[in-house]
Amino acid sequence: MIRQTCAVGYRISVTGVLACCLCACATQQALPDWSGWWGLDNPYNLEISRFQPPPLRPADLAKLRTAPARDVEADPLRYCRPRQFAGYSGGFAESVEFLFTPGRVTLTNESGLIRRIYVDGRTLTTEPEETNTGTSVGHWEGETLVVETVGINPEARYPESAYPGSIPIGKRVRITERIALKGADTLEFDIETIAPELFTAADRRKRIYVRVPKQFAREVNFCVEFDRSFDPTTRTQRFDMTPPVDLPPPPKSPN
Amino acid sequence: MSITQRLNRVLCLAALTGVSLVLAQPVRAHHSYIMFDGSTSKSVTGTVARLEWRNPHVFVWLYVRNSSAPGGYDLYAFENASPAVLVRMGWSKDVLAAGETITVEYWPLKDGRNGGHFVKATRSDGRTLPGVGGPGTGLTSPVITPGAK
Repeated sequence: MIRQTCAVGYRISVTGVLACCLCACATQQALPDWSGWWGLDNPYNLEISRFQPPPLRPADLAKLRTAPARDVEADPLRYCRPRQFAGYSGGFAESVEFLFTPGRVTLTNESGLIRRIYVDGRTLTTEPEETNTGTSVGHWEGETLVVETVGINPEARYPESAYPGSIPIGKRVRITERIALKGADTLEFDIETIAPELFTAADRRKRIYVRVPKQFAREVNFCVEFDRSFDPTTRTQRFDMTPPVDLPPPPKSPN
Repeated sequence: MSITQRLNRVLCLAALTGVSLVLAQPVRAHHSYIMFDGSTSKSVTGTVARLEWRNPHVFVWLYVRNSSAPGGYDLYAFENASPAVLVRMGWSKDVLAAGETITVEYWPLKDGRNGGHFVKATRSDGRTLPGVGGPGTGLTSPVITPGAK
């Protein structure tokens, strides 16, 4: 009797486990998968102060608009800060890459950003450790990936660290992204940023990405030893015309 | 010309216009383009001295004949976008070889030195190689020729 009961229980358990696995596999297969590389479709999307001004305080908006012409006032470390997330994951100068693995979506770009988005059912902690990319959890609403991010380093620069005139994003930031395919090769980010120390209201904007056929990632790096466009000692822009040391001589016969 | 042919021509022109508009837009850079005069473009023909393929900007170096200059040539420098961006436009680190004759259209430096921001290069066989970025006045190359070499 005991043996029969155990056998039945065992069968039920095995059947249950198999059913759960099949269910999980089916769920996994049903989810969208936009693995691969994506680039911003329109660089104007980044001209935020000009085309879709964020709800910055007037002084900060003015700084964002005028700083590119006066680099001496800009953040001296901006080219060598680690990649930070302040609502923008990259996309034009550097392609953005999505990696889908069970329970996690990873978003990288070619300038070193790595965002680990947990989609395993966990919830955001109330007191997350502050990091350059924050803590992100996601869940699926139909075919839309909803990502919530908190715990962003208050010194992370908005809109991004390399942008002249960028501003610290401040404390208690919460960014919600709704990411969905809008066609086979078009991906839409609908982004809401709540940054009480930076914005006077929630900032809401869309960014469209298009698929980039790319076989190899390339490195995008503004933190270089010798930048012909920028002098780190004086923090000013330049156009350095010092010829490369191994420049070949001019042709012997005129062209 | 049939209606279909006319329609195709209109669609092609519309597509090219769209491409040129996209290219003409200013792109994000890690600095402004304040050192360049975006109100006008210039052209010079010369011999490629070096394609400096590096971050954050690719530079094209060009020898341009000038009989009054020491050695008979002036050296020009042209800034372009980063390698990652240019690859998407058909560039590679080998796309321009030293010694090749090209004509470069560029936005000149405001301080009058020999160089500026690369707009496009035209090769001896007429193929073009578009640049990316720059002060952006709509003077950017209207036609993409990916994989030009």
